[in-house]
Amino acid sequence: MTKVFKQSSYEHISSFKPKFLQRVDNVLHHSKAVTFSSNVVPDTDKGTLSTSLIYSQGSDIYELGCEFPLGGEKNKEPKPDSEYGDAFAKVEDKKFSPKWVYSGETVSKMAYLDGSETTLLAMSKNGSLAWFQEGVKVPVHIVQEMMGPMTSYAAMHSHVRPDSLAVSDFAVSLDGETVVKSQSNGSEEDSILKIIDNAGKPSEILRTIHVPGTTVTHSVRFFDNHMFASCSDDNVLRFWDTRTNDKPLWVLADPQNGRLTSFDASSVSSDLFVTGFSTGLIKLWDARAVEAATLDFTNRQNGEEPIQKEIANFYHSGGDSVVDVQFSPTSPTEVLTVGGSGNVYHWDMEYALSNYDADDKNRVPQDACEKLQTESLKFLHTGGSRRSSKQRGKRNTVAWHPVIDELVATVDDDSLVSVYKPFTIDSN
Amino acid sequence: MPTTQKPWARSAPSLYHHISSVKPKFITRVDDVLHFTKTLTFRSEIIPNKAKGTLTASLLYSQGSDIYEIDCDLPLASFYQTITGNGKDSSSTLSSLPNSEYGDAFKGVEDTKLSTKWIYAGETVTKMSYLDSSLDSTIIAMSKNGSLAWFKDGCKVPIHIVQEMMGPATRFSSIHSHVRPDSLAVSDFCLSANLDTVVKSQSSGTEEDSILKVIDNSGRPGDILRTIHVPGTTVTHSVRFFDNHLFASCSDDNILRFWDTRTSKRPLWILNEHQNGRLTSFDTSQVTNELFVTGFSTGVIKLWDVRAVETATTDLTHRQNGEDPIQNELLSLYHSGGDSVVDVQFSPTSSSEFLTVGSTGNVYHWDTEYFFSKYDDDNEDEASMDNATPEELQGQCLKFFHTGGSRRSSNSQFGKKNTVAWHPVIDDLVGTVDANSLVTVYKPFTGRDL
Repeated sequence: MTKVFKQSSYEHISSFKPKFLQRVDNVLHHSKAVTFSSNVVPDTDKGTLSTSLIYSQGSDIYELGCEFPLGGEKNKEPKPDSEYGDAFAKVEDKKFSPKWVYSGETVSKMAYLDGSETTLLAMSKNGSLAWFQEGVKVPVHIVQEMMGPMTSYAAMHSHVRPDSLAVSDFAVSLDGETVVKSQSNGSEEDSILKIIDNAGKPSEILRTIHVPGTTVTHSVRFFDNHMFASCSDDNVLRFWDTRTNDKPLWVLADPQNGRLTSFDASSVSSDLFVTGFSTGLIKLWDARAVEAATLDFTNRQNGEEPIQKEIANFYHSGGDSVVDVQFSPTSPTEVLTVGGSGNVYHWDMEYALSNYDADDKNRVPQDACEKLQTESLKFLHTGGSRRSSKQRGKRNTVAWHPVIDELVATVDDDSLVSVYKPFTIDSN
Repeated sequence: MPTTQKPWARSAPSLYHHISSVKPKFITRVDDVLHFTKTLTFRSEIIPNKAKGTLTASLLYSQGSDIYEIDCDLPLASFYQTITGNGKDSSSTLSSLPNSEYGDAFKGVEDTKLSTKWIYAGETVTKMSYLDSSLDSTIIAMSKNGSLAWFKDGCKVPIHIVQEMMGPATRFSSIHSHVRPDSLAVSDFCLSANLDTVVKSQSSGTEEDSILKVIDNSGRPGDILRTIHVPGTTVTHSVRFFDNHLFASCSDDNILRFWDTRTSKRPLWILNEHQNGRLTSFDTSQVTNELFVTGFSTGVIKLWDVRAVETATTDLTHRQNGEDPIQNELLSLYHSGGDSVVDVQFSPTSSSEFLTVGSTGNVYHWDTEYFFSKYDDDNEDEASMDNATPEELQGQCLKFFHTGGSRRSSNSQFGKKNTVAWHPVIDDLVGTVDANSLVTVYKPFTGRDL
């Protein structure tokens, strides 16, 4: 068997540098984020499948259309193709004007809202949120945070590097009705979660929860319509329900493997989640087992920490730190991780899960051995100019397509936008 | 035109598209059937059978701690017309003529002795909610002391329980309550529109405090997520959801409090209604999400728009500091003869229909379509309804009333709540249960159907 991760051949890859109607002085200067819209239009006559990318640069948000050869999707046998494709051929020479503008702010994360009144939810660097609607250039709802300098203060005084960790994040519940955002409180030892309505009265702040003893809470993710977890710089994951009081349901402290930099929950299985560390370590967990362990006092004395064991460990080779983790929205076992180097690692957790028995109380976590690593790491994307050792801003620069299997988009510092679909042995 | 007749005004017996009733027999010996509390609800599954010409629905009937399932085979002809389109097909008009004869929907079960489907041992069931057969559990039942039990098809005992240890405490608070202990339920529960969340209300056992509990019904059914105190109230007798998150509670201080399951311990806004006697019941429309109805001990019924009620709390135009906000209802109706309102239920299939239950046991069917055809949503000036007198509105909106069976007993004021239920799917089909265990299903015949 070939080791797939050694060769990087793509079923499809296209990239381009968008041109803009306005003059952009130094493109390197602006923060960039990328996400997909969930609109997919197949055209059998032309043999194409079109979708669009949402690309932000500073305060401006653009929609970039792209077309893929339909043949590679369905009809023909997929073939590895290391040539660059022409998915952006139509828009290559177009000068883009912003579809939406969040003026005075720098967009750091976007989420495409499906089927609701508003189309896009964008977060700015200081933790403000803006809702955008099709056809309206400015935000239709805003949750404004007045914390510019304070954020900097908190970030400066944080024991983590201010640029490699986002100080705010948000997540949308599975049914799209609730938004949770995390932000620094501006004081040294307190970060805040805000539960915000997205159903009856979008942007209404329903509740504010304090997370004491933490300076930044850099990640929040929903497991289903109600349960979510927050990840703070004290290396503790806290699990919450939007409907409970202001205390976490349970916690998962993981102080041993360097700084906990990122985590993501699977929206397909609703039990699995993955954590990533600054040391390059990646852990796969079962939320049910983590919770059950907090109630199990068999092997521990009073007051001791619960024994919470992950399903399996993986690692980025060369100690490439993990800056972002994302579960595939279409597959329960596929995960991508982004390294500090800019590399994108594609994993398939199927092998680890086939060796996992949720009911086995004595199981030991699967170590990051050669076998597990080879079976699970399916693909490595190093293309474009991503391979810069500059540590900042790699978060939210990689996105899965919400509908099309395995299609991934990336944006680089120099504004190079790429879309690719990896070719793995599995595809046969 | 038959549409001109005013059903409420005539003294003739009400006409039914269909009415059937049965006194179920039981395998276990039941000493005194009058002794037990009874409630009724429908399952949502229906099975049409064209060959036999029947539409089979099933009722869930509780008696004390036992819950039974009773099938009824409704004549398809009585319901066929509403499915195909309102009587444009002249051949179907014949079959849908009003019928005051009793039907035989229960023929199949008349002589069978029913055995219990589920048992909530040691408790008295006071309310049941059908979930959905696709879920892990089938129904949620509440007992008199406020405990909740989840039941599932094929398993006789509860699969989840939220137990309350408050028998005597409840009594204490209901004795000391300034309302009659038996005429107001001391606990209630409601499911969110997506069935993910349950909210239940109960007395906390002290004089001036009742409790709301937010309970999970998705990931871990039965898990108590949060407890909210409602200070200054002895009982909170009704809770209802508007959508997946917004709900309101109604307490014995005549105040409706509006909450979001995701917010903290304080209500979002309130509606204070102290002028029309005791606020006994309220219900929200699941069809529009915005309408709700309140019922009073004086027989007054009010229809409200939740958006307007909320907006009024932030509108300071016509009031001085500290004054109550001016919250106006859309429409006010009444039970004639001052028959107090003990239960209100919006139709699950129509946005304009609701039914109210009087303490006499009468069931009143209302349709506010006439009102909404004249009502201007954006005109806040009440004068817009000047052209319709209260009597005219009353006449146009009261479509039907049901007095059948042995419901008309004015001596036993208690236990009329949760004894009437709309069918969740079949238009206008209602089930009732009487104190003597008589179960009735009917579909009213109203002039407008022709």
